[in-house]
This record gives sequence, C-alpha cells and structure tokens, in this order.
Amino acid sequence: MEFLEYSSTMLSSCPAAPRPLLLLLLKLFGSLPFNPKVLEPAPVPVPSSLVMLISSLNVKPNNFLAGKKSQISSTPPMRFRYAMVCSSNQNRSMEAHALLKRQGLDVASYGTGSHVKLPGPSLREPNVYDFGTPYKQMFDELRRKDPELYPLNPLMHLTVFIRYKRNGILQMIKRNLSVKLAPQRWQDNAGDGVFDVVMTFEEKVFDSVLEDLNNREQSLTKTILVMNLEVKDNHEEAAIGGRLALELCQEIEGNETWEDTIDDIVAGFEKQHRRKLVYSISFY
Amino acid sequence: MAAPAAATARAQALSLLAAANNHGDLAVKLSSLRQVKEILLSLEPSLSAEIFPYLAELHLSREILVRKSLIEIIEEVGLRMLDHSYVLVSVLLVLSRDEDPTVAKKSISVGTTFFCTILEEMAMQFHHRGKVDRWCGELWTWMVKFKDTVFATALEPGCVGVKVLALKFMETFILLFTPDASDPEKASSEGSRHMFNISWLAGGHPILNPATLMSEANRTFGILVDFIQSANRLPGALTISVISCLAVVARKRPVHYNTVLSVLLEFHPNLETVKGCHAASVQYSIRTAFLGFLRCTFSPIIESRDKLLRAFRAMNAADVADQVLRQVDKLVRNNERAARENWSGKNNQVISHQNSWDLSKKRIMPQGEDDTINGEVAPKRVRHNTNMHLTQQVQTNESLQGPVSINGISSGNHLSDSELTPVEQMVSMIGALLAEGDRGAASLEILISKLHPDMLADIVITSMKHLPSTPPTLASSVATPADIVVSSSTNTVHSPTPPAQLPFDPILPAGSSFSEVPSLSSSVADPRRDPRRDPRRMDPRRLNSSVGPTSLPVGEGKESVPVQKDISTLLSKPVSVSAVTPGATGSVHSTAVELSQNKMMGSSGIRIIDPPECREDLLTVPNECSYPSKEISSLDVPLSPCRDDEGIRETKYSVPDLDMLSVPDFDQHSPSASVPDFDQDPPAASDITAPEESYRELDPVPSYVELTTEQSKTVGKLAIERIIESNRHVFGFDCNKIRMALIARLIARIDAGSDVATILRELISVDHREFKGHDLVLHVLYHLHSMAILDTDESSFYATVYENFLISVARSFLDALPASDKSFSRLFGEAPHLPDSAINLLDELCSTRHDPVGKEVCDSERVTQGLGAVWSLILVRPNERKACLAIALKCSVHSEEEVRAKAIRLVTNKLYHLTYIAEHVEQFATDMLLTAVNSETNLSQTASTAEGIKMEAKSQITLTTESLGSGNSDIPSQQDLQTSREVSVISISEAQRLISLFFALCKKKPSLLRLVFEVYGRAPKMVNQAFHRHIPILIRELGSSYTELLQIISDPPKGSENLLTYVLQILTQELAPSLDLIATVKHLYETKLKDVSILIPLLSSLTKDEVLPIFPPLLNLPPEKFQLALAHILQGSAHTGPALTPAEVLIAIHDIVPEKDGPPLKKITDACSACFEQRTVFTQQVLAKALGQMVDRTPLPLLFMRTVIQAIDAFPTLVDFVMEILSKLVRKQIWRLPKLWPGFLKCVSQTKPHSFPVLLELPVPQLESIMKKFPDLRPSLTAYANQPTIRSSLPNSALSVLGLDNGQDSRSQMHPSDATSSIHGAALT
Repeated sequence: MEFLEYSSTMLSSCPAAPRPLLLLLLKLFGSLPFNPKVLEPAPVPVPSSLVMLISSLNVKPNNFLAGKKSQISSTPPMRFRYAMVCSSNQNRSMEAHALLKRQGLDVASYGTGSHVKLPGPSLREPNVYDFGTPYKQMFDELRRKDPELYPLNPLMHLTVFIRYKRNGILQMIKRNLSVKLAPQRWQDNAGDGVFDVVMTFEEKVFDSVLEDLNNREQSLTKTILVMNLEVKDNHEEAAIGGRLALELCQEIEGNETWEDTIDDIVAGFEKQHRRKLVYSISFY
Repeated sequence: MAAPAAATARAQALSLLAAANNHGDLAVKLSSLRQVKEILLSLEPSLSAEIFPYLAELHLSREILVRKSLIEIIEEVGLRMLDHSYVLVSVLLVLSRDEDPTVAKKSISVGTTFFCTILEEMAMQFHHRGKVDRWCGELWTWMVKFKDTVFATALEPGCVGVKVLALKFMETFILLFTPDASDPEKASSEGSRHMFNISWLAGGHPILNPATLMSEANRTFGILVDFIQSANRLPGALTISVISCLAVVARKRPVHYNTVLSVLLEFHPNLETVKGCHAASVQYSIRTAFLGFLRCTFSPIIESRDKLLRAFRAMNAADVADQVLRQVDKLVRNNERAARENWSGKNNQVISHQNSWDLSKKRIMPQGEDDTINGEVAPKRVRHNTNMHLTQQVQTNESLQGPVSINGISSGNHLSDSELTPVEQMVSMIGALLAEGDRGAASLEILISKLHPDMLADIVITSMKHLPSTPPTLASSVATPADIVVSSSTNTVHSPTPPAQLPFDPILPAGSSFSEVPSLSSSVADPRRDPRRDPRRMDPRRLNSSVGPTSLPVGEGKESVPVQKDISTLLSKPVSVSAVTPGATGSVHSTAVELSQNKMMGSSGIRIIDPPECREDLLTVPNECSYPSKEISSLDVPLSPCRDDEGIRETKYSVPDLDMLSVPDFDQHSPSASVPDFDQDPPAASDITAPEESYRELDPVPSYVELTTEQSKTVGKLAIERIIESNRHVFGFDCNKIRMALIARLIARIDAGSDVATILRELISVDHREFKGHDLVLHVLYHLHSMAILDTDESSFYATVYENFLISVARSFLDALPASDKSFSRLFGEAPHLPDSAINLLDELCSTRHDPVGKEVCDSERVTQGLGAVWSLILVRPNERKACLAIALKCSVHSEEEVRAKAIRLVTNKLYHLTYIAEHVEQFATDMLLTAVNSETNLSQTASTAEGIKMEAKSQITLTTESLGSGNSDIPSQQDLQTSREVSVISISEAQRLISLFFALCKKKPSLLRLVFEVYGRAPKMVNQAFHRHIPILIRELGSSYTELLQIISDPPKGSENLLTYVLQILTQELAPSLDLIATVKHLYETKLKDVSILIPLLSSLTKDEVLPIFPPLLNLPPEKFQLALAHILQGSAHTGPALTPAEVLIAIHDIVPEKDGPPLKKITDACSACFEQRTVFTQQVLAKALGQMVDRTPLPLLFMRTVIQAIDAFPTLVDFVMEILSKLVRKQIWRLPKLWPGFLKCVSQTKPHSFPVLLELPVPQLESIMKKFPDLRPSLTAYANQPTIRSSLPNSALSVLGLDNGQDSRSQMHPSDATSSIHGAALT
C-alpha cells in the first residue's frame, strides 16, 4: 500500500514534462504494439504450495539444492538461509531476493499481507491478487489493462504513468518472474524449512513475522534472527534497501555465531548508513 | 543368515568409524560417518547398541564437523532406539559444553529433544504399565545432569549463541513442569511436541516427583526473571532472548503472566551505557512481547489490557496496539458466533458441548490409553476401574487422613492402568503437594490461585465425595429419613453390621460414579458422563449452603433426559458393585456376600409377583416408589438391581424432574410425603437401612416429591429466577452458556409462558449491553425448537411451549420496551421458527387500532416497529416472507391514513426493490385498484344488502312512477344500478385507501400508470376523483422523466380522455410543455383522438399557425372549455408571447364559416359574445383593430355586422370609427350582400344621427328602400339633409327620395308598419 501511496503522490506532484518530450512520449505510446494474445482468458491462479514446488524446481539456482550442496562440499563454509519479507512480495523483498540470489546467497522471499497489492488506476482501486498468482499472469493482465486505464488524454498523467507504470511496475514484475514463479505468503509457507536470517522491510511486516514465528510450534530449539530495515515502497528505495540487505547479510554470513556479534553489527550498520535497524531473536 | 550379515555390518561400521576417527581427510571422515549412520539405522537396535560406544568415542575428535555430525547421528539414531541410547546421551552431555559454539548449540537442541522424549516416554510407561523401565530411569538421570549442565551454561559466561539456546531450554523446562490449568482446550492445541503435561505425573510416579519438578520449574522461572533484572550487564541478543522466552511462558502459562508483565513493564535498563547492546532492538522486543499478549485471550491477559495499552502509548505504538486489539476482538467475536451457531443448531446442546469439553480434557491424557481401553470388555472395565479408583482413593486418604484399614486390601492392584479425569489428576496432584509439606505449600498456593473456576469447582465436589461418611455436619444437615432409621437398623437381624460397612460405604458411590468416567471412551456410555459432571459443576454456584445429597437432584432437575438415565444407573450401580466388590475384598465381607446372594434370590422371586402393583404405585406416587414396594415385599427388595432399576425408570417417565429441584418448596414437601411412611412401618423401613446406608450420598430416592403442575411451575420459575439472579454476579463465558442451557431446559419442562417471559424481559433490558438476555432467549427458543422437531408426535408439547414462550416474550417486549427498541424484530428475526401465532401477533401490531386517544402516539410508533420487523423478516426469513408481505400489504390499504402511509412507504421504498417481491406487490396493488374501480358493481351488490331497505323503497318509487305493470326484475335493474351508483358508490376515502398503494408504486414504475388510464373510463366518479387527487402529486414526482407518460399519452386507452386532459393540464401548469409533449399530443390529436380539448392545455405554447387550424373545433367545444382555450391562447408562453392577439382571435372567430367547419352559427355567436364579455381583454382598441382589418376582407365575415353592432353597443365611443366602417361598407356596395345588408341597416338605424352621413352616401334606390323600411328615420334624416351645407352636397335624386322635393314626403309615410317589421327581421339575423 505504501507503494501505492507513493505512486499517487508522485502522480499529483510530478511537474509536467517539457513539451517536446511529451510529444515524443505520446507518439511512442500511441504506436505501442498491441498484442492480441494478451486478450486471451487469464490463467487460473496456482495454489501457493504448488507455486513453491514449481519455483523450487524451475528457478535456477535452486534454493534447496544450493543449500544441500554447501553441506556436501568438502570445505563447507557456514551457509545461512535467508528470507526477505515485505508486504506483497513484489518490490522490496523481490529486489533483495534478486540481489542476494545474484550474489549466490541461499535466499527466499515472502510477503505478509493478506493479498498482493499493486498500484492501480487510483489509490482506491489497486490491482489485488492472491498470493500464488504467477507473476507472469499479473504481467500479462497489467499489460493488457495499461492502455485502457491510461488513455492518451491528460498529458501529465500520461507521463507519470509511463514513468511509473510502464517503466516501473511492469518492469518490476518482469524482474520478479525471472526470479521465481509467484509471490508467496510468509504465514502460509511454514513448510519451507528453517531459515537463519529473516530480513523484513517494514515494521508491520516485522511484527507479523515475529508473531507468526511465535505461533508456530517451537520444537527444534534453533535460533532465527529477524531484522527489520525500514525501506519505502518504491523502486528507488527498494534498490537501495536491497543493497543494504545484501551488505548486512554478507556481514552476518561471515559470522559463525552471530549472536555474539549481532549487537555490534547492527550498531555498526546504523552508524555507517545512518539507517535504523531493529533485530529480534526467535526460535524454531 | 542374519547373524553373519549383522556381523559383517558391524565390522564394516567399526572400520568406518575408525576411518572417521583417524583419516586425514575431513571429507572422508564425514562420508564414513554418514555410512555408519546408514548401517546403524539398518541394524537391529541391540546390535546397533554394540557399536554405540565406539561411536561415542568420536566426541573426542578434534574436527568440529565430525563432532557436529556425531550429534546429528545421535539425534537420528538415538531417538529411534531410545532404550539403548544412554551412551549417546552421555555424549550429548559432554558436547553441550563443547568449546565450539556450533557444536554446543547443536547438542543443546538435540538434548532438548531427548529431554522431552524421555520425559514423555517415562510418563507413558507409568500410565501403561504402572512402572518405568530401568533404562528410562537411567536416561533420566543423564537428562537431569544435562539439564543442570545447560542451566549452568545459561548462567556462566560464554558464547551468547549457546546461552540463548540454554535459555530456550529453560523456557521449555518451565513449560513442561508448570501445570496448565487455565484452559483445557488450549492444552490440546499446543501441538504434539509439548503434549506432556505435569498432571500426567499424578498418582505417584516412581521417579518423577511432580512437586519437586514444579517447584524447580518455578525456580527456573525465577532465574529467567533475574536475568531480566540484571539486563544492564548482558548483551542485547541475550536480553532479547530472555524477553521472548518470558513472553512465551506468559502466553502459554497464564500462571506466570502477571509476574512477567510486571517485570517487563518495569524493565527500563540504561541500555545506552552498555557496550554491545542494541537498545532499540531490546525495546522493540518488549513491544513485540506486549503485542503478543494483546493477541491472547486468557482472562488475566485481557484484564491487563489497559496496562498494556498504556505501555504502548508510552512507546508511541498505540495505533499498532489498537489494530491488534481490533483484530483480536474480531476473531473472538467470530469464534463466539461460530460457537453459537454450532451450539444452537444441535439438539442437546449441553451434551455436545460437554462432550467436547470432556474430549478436550481427555486429550491431555496419554493417548495410548484409549486403544487398550477400547479393546476391553465393558463390564471388566467397570470393575477394573473401580479398583483403580479405590486405590486412588487410598492415596488421597493416606495423604489426607492417614491409612484406612479396609481399603488397604485392594492396594495390591496399586499400579494398575489408570485413566484419570483432569479433575482427579488435579486432586491427586494437590494431594501430592500436600504430602510435600511446606515445600509444596507454595506451589499449591500458586496452583490453586491459577486454576480455572470450573476446574476448582470440580475438584471441590470430587473431594466432597471423598469425605468420611460420618461427619456429623453432613448427617444432620441432610436429615433424611434414611438417617432416622439408621439407629434402628442396628437392631434388625438381617442388616449387615454397620461398623464393618461404614468405612467402605463412602467409597462405593464415589467409585461407582467415577467408574463412568473411563467409560466415556466408549460412545455408548456418553450420556452418562454429563449428568455426573453437571451436578458438581452446578452446585457450588447455585447451592452454596446445600449439602451433598441435594446437589444431585438439582442437577437432574435442570438436565433433561440423560440425567434421568443417569439416576437409574447411579442407583443400580452401587448395588451391582456391591455385589462384586465383596468378592474382591475377600474375607472381610464374606457375610455380606452371602447376604447379597440371598437377597438376589429373594428379589427375583418377588419380582415376578410385584410388578403390577409396584408399577401402579410408582405411577401414582412416584416419590415413594421404593417404599411401598418394600412394604409389600417383605425383605431386601431395594437390593435387587432389577427392582431398583425398574422402579427408578418408572419414576423417570412419570415424574417431571423438576420435582427434585432444591428450592425452598422442597422442604415443605419432603417431610410430609416420606416421613409418615416410615412411621407406619418401622420394621420394613429398617430393612432398607443397609442398602440405603450404603449409598447414603446418593439418596435422592427418598427426596422424590410429587408436585402438582402448579407447584412445579412455581418451582421452575423460582429456579429460573435463581439462575438468572446468580447470573448477575458471576461472569464468564462458560457459566453463561451452561446457564442458558439450564434455563432452556427448565422452560421446556414447565410451560411457563408469560411469567418467565417477564423475568427474561427484565434480564434482557437489564443486560442489554451485553446482549446476554437476547442470547438467552434465543438459546431457549432453539432448544425448544429442537425438542419440538425431535418430537415426532404432531401435537408436540414442545411446539406449544415454544409458541407460548416466543409469543409471551415478544408480547412482553412490546409491553415493556420502547417502540424504538430493536429487541422485538431481532427476536423474530433470529428465532428458529415463527409459528402462525407470531405472524398474527405481528399483524396485530401493525394494523390493530386502539381506540383510546392517549395511546395514539405510542401506537404509530408501534406500527413503525411492527413494519420494521416485517421488513427485516421479509429480508431474512424466506419462509415467512409471504405472510409478512401479506401483513405489509394489508397495512398498505389500511383504513387509517397514518398506518397506510407508513406501510406504503415501506412497500414502495423498500420492498418493491426486491425482485422476488415486486411482482406480488404490483399484483396486489393492481388488484386493489381494480377493486376500487369495480366497486361499482361489487358494491352495488353489497350495498343492496346493506342498504336494502332504502334501495327497495327507492326502486319501488321509481317502479311505480315510471314503469308500472312491466316486469319487476328486469327494468329495475338498470334503475337500481343508477341508484346504487349514487347510494353505494365508495366514498372517496375508501377509494383513496385502495388506490394509494398503486399510485405510490407508479412513482417507482411509471409504466403502471397505463392501467390507471385504462380503468379510468369505467371507474366510478368517486374513484376518479381520488385519481385526480393523486395524479398531480404523482406527475410532479415523476418530474421531467415522463417518457413513460408520453407513451401513454401518445396512445391513451379509451375513456381516459378526461384524465388525459387533466394530466396535460398538470403538466403544463407550471412549466412550459416540452416539445416532445407537444409533438405527442398533436400527433395524438391528428391521428387518434379528435377531441381538440386535449390540446387546450398546450395552446399557450402553440404558434399562431398551429392554433388557427384548430380554432374552429375549439370553438365548437362547450362554452366553458372554449373559455379556457381562449384563455390559454391569449395567455401564451413567456417566450413566444400569445399565440393570437385578441384582435386575431376575433378575426379568427369571424373567419369561421358555419357550414364548412361544423360549429353552428350559434356557437360562433356565443364565442363572440364571450369575447365581448371580457372587456379587459377585448378593449375598444382591439375591437377597432379587428373591425378595421375585417372590413377590408372580401367576402366580409358573416357576423361582421353583428359584431359591429355589438361593438357599438359595448363601446359607444367607437361610433365615429364605426361610421368610417359603415361608409367603407357603403363603398363596398353592402346592399349586394343580402346577409349583411339587414345588419347594416340595423346598425345605421341604431346609430342615428351619426349614421346620417353614411345613409346619405347610399345610392338612391337603397336609400329609398331604407326610407321605406324605417319610416321613422325619414323626418330626422330629412331634417339633417335639409341643412344648407349638406343639402348642397346632395344629389337631387337623393333629395327627392328624402322628400325634399314636393310630394315625396306623403309617399314615404305610407308604410310605417313595413319598416318596423323589417327592423325586427334584421335584428334577428
């Protein structure tokens, strides 16, 4: 939702682009290729568990296999499993997920909201999907909706939407569908196994994760580190947040017993980046 | 084969282990370890165990990863073969202090698993077999050491990661050994892993001492709390872990909640000063903990919500907290609703409810138990359980009062299987704690303070049954007949010796009643448990002062059928048990055995003889059922199980259970009913003493009291009152549910009706805030309803009770609550079923009139209330929809306007929108309309009977006057109709009543209007008047959107012309008609309806060109209509001005040629006259203008001269103008127009002397003829002409005509009469 709010504020506050640019954009927009295929009926949402299964099979490098590999290899470094969690598992968590994955960390990502929400034509009508709806499906639907929703008329809106809608959201979803199949809900995926570190990007999400961990049966006597880094729900901030998360995780990755050093790591991080960080410890 | 294979496997494993130990390459070591694991898992446990010591050696390996995988192997293998794993466990102990934190962490977490598993195993073994294997004991000692080590780890300085896990272990320890008495349902939902409950250890576990463990858990809790208080020196991670552990403990064990809360609230360390502690995170963890608390619904947590909220406010997180609270409240509400729905839908709610309660309790018990129990045969189980309870009893007795010799006999079975109810577990645990002495006292204190009230009540009741049989207080307060005869019983020969019996006695009933608890597991015995439980649950609240025996009846009174069954079983059980137990207890009771055998024989003999009489007795005097039979059958009857059983069963069917209620009345009845019997027949009574004595606690039998229906009702009412009264003081979800259930059953028993309703109403209004009253009523209703449904008899008793109750509650609402109160409609909306009487009540509410003036205000509100209820019922109760709709519709044609208006508003604004009703409504409205329209014929018939005499009289008169002698029946019929139309035509208010609804509907659906138009033609005058009243309002409401109307206008049904005109009139009254409308009407006029009167309203908007063609037909209309049309024409519209100016109108009138256009001349002249009447409009100037224009016409309008004459009449000053006209006419040779000429003449003669010049202009012949016609003109004319100035200008011929020549005068005077006659003729034209 914050993403939405942000987009809408941008929408209202964005100054009109210079005239030539506008015209160019108009031209571009008008001549966009229209794919008749996207008009076909939308595919049925896939159940979350299935998505998980499929994503674990299809997406390379595979999370689970990667984890196993590390144990098998002869000189295994201490490998942690990470989870990136935000509200809708679209922007912040996926940004971090993509980044950590590229760096070879064992990472998964989740959302804690009740639904996946994407900005819609207005703040009051977001595009809402169930968790488990493949990114591909969202991509297709939004792309199909796009020209309908944002007619050529008011020029200012057009520029804003071209900037945020076409280059933002669609691109974001495109990125997401290259990372995994569908958004997953944290609370519904307790079966995904044990994580060592959970990064959240919003206080509300942090609370939800802790509450959920508390409600699970804690029988493994294993610690889990949950950290919250406040990141605004927009693309720029998400990119920054992803980098910070990566840095943090890499620092923790080096520490065999993070419990001893976590206070220093957090304090150091706060000092270096001038960002607030909160952590908590929960158990499996 | 197997042995060599095993041997090779063993050898292989050993070599692999050697490799793991000694090989240089870490990878090889690890892989060989994996292989070892595979082998170990494949081997038999005993063989594997041989390898364990070698495996254990690996813990000395320097490789961290080897040690770590060793732990993994231990986890996997050790848990599978627990009985051989003590070697491995010892390794865990060592490794938990490993220098490498990862190894230490791993071993602690694996150790925790072992700890729980072993604990569970020990508890299970004890429950299954009554003893614990040695290996288990050994393992436990290791586990205790492990625990000590881990605890030490937590306290000593070291790696934070390890300490965190140690803290977690402490948390687990606390959870394991702190009783969770808060909510039995919660316990089962905690998950399989923490299934273990300290209460399992009740009953003297050989190794585990619950009291010690509990106090240790408390101590551990204290350690955690201490941690927090010394947080200033701790690293942040540790502090956070402690906080989260404490939070978990507080959430799962409410016992500790308050402590944790206060500790956390006071937690304000100066964290900034501590190096290496992230203050924000620590603060946040407290916030997380509080948030977690908010989500909990334990009562202590809910009570502390305010505190929490304050804390959140201090943290600036109040909004988060509010959000969570809202979520939780929503959840709770949803759960409650779901529970209610589940609850009310079922037949015997309480039973099912308690089933679940019990089941959930049962789940706490060891699971394996069920299987074995189910395999057993029922009778065996009973006995077996009795034994068990005996031993149970012994223990308590031992701890409480010291050993009891008799019971010691059965202590040989001490360690038999046991299945204890939670209550018994608690009782025994309390016993164990007491045995601990001072050490246990503190724990006991905590335990008791935290027990759930229900549980506590159960414990109290249970232990009451264990009281010694001879406490004086008990006996004296009971004061039952049984006690009276005890003294005499010692004298009788047959009675067993009381001293021997007494210590045993109290146990029997206790045991037997308990024996049903285990039998719960079989579904057959299900009903039995509830009643047994219930009395105990109910008693302490309701009967604080009453004693054991009375407690049972109370419960029975309130429980329905199952209880009755239970009485019989309860009563029969002790007997059967007594027959069995003597055998078990052996020699001491040898006499008793003989005796009982004798008795059995005797009773079977007697039984054959007795039943008839016995039954009769029972039926008539059920409360004395056992006594009469004793009097008849001389001996020992009560001991016969069959007899007793039968007897009680009889009572069950015949006596309403209410009789046994322990209310004040009870005291009045019991002595009179039962004591005299004993006085009459002491010996017989003395015989009973033994059995009676033997289950003294259960002696409800003598307390059976026969009450009359009246009394039982009173008693029931009192009971309900008491329950409700007690309800006010005790709050709690459970209690309320049970109360509701009780009240529901009570009401089902006594058909209490209005009395109870009064009480409940009070309750509801008092307790409105929490809606408990409403819940209660609904509960009762659902109960009654389900009973009624179950009752297959069509004339169900319950159905009547249900109906009565519902109606009386509803009535009491109406009587007492203000009309704005929603209780009434809510009641009807949520009641399971609405009988006809309820609908009638509603009907009455909506439409009944109360004459007294004072109640009017209230009344109308009531109607609103009723209609509101009707509406909501229509929405939510499809079954009653029809009936309710009927009510609403009935009200919508109510004779009282206020009611009608309200109902119509409801029907049109609300109901008509409902698609499934719209049609009905429409149909009804149409019917009503048609009724009104057809009332002419209908009413003529009804009226003919009603006003028969008058009618007859009239028709007689007409008959005699008009058609004497003709057929009596045929001709009068017409006449009658005529009369009836006058006499019996429905009054206008009646018509209004019938058609209001329809017109209201028209507003919603203008197309309905067509019907009005259709029927208009045949509707009686009064109805049409009513139409006319409605139409303006309707049309205005419809506003500009009268497309529907336009359609109707474009094609009006026959007979509706008047209405149409009226409608048009209204349409054009305030606004200029739209072009559409004009076009439509014009089209209509041109095509179908030739009646020009429909155009009248539009005339003002028409142009001159449009008006002129229709002018002749307009003229042809009746005068008043023409006047109207004229007004419209002259008025015109604001934009275009008048269609015709007055002058143009006049001309138009004159342009009409009578022959061609139809209107007779008379009409035209009338029209002219009409114009002249309006002098303000048709002024002198207008006339002059019109005349001036007309005079130039050829041909001249027919009426021209007439108008001229009229003009000069009206405005004499016009005379000069007229003269000009006349002279013009002369120039036009007017004499050639025969129709105008006379008029001219008349005009001339009227306007003399002004007309003289004109006359003189005439040619001679004409002048001459005038002279002839008007001889009286001649003198004056001659005189005029004779004037010198004139004369000179006149031609001679003219002069000669005037007789200014000689001899002319006499000739002209010859025909005076002719002249007058011609004047007459001219005037006529």
